[in-house]
Amino acid sequence: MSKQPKVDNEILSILEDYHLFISSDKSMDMPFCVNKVDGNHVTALKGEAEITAASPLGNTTLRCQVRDKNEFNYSFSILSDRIQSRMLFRMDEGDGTHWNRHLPIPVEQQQVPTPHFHKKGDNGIEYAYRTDRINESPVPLNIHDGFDVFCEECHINHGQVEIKIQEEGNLPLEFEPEADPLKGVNFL
Amino acid sequence: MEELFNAIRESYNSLWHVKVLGESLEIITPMVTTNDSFVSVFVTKRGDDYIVTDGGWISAGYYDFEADSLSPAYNKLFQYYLENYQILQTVGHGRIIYYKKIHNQFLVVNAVFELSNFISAVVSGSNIQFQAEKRELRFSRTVRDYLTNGFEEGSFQFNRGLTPDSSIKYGAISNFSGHLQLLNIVTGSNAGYYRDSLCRSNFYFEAARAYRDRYRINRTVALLDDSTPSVYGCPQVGELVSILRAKEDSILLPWSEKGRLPELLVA
Repeated sequence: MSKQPKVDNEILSILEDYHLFISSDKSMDMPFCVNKVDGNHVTALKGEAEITAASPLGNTTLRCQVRDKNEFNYSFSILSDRIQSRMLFRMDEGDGTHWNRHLPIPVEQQQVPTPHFHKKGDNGIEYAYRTDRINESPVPLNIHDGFDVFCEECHINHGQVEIKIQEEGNLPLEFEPEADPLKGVNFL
Repeated sequence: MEELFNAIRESYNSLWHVKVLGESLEIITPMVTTNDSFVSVFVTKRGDDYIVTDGGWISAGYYDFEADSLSPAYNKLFQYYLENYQILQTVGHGRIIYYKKIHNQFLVVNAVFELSNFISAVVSGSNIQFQAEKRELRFSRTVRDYLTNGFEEGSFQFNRGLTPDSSIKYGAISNFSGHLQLLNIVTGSNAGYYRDSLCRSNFYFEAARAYRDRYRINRTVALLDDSTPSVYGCPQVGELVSILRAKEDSILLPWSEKGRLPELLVA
């Protein structure tokens, strides 16, 4: 609790709408295709699709990024043009462990490994959390199951979900669940 | 009081976690960064040696690390920790991997300790706003936002070299009208930094000269931060700007004239 946590004042000013948006039913076209090479990360694939919500919050998009073209390393984000920071809700798998250090709980509970969700708290501060379903899921969580978990958590399409990960013009990705990030690297 | 100590130790110990990834382990450590991440290190074996690494996470940006930081003060800090903990580096999967190599198994724990402290220090340090780089970062962000929002999505690739492993990175590379355009961002909080930035931009454009045909490069544009008259308008900067303006094949565009960019890039 040493530094002042970053408060998203824009979210605070629309907190009620934010809650309504997060909890409202949403829909999007399926399958969700993640097939573009990400301009800034040649090894990443991304996909974007419009989301409509029963309680809308500006124009909202779902963005997925698959890092290292590895289906155990990805994030899903819901973005809106209503706020500067754009990020409303996110799920991460395969990258860093979050530290919820502004919450007044013991440090071992502040530690949130992936997969996890990120959302803004009532104080405007972003925090990470896991659900029972995540805790019961296999580790690491592949993107197909991850998408299902994500859609359930933010009420997209009532279980009618499908995601396609395939770079345009290439074969589908195939990765081992225990993909070794150091495989093939030479250490002199 | 001893109970309190036991509770602290137990809580602290419970912060260690492990994920098995093929022949490697990802170890989540109790070390943290000031931007709210726990540090992970990766342990693997090569022959009889143990390797402890950051898994490429620093350079891949997993800790929100600004890998293209040009601040001399930050580079000093980074170098200090690199040398102090005797960290080695190699390249794998297109990114820099920091590591330590250990022969004795019972010393692996020391390497985990040193490497996780290293990661914590250099990532946390990268969040410090050093005086000299503040403006640089702010202007870079302004330019990026403008290019990202003002043009069709995906028109620009930022901080990229002509080839993935080149250390010469341009501020942005665009692809209009079947050609490539190289853009550099020129800024600095005082005349000295500004001149350095201008010289680097010019040298990087010169370095691309040999590849003009191969990559169909038709424009090189230096975007000049002219928001601070006392820097942009000072004679030391003006002298360099007029020398570069006299070169016919390179465009210098003050940011206040950014409205001309579409015509310069697309035409």
